Amino acid sequence: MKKKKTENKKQYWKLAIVGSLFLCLLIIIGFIFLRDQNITLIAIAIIVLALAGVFVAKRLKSIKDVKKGLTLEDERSRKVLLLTGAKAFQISIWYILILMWLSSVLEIVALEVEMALGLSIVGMAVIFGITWLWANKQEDLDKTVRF
Amino acid sequence: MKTRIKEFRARHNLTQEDLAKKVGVRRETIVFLEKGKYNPSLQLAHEVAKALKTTIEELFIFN
Repeated sequence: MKKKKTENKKQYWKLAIVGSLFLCLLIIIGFIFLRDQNITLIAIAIIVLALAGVFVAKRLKSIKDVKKGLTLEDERSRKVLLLTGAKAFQISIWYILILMWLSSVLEIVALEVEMALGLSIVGMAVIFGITWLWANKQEDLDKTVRF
Repeated sequence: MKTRIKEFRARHNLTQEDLAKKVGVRRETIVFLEKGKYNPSLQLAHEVAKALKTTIEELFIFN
C-alpha cells in the first residue's frame, strides 16, 4: 500500500513537471504565432491548445481518482501508452516524410529550418495526443503495429 | 469475451470504484472489463475473481 502511494506521488510529480513544461511550450509557440500574425499557424496553435485541454481534463479526472485512493497507472494504462507510442512513432515518420516531400520535391510549402522543426515537434505532439485518444478506446491492446 | 463482473459486483454491493480500489486498478479499467472490452492478464483476472469471491471461469466467458 505504501509502495503504491509512493508510486502515485511520483506519477503526480511527473505529471506536474511535464504539464508545466508543455504549458510553457504552448505559451511560447502561441506568442510566436501571434507575433507573426500567420492565420495557419494560429489555427495550429488553437488545435494544439484544444488537444491539450482534453488531455488536461482527462488528467484532472485521474488526479481526483488518486485522491479517492485509486491508482493512476495500471496494466491497461501501460498497454495504452505502449500502443500509443508505437503507433504515434509510425505516424510521425510518415508525417515528417510527407512534410519533407511537400517542402522539397513539390515546393508547395516553403519551410525555413526553424519552421520545419517547429512544425515537426508540434505535429508529433498532436499526433501523440490523437493517437492516445484512439488507443484509449481500443479493445485489443495487444495488437501489433505494422509499417 | 463476456464477463459477469457487474452481476457479482452487485451481489457484493460494490461500486466500480470500490472494486477498483480492492484490485488496485483504475476505475476506467473496471468499466472496460465489465463491457468485455479489455482482455485482462491472468494475474488481473485472478485478482478480480478473488475480490468478488469467485473463480475466473465463473467470471469470464470466452466465446
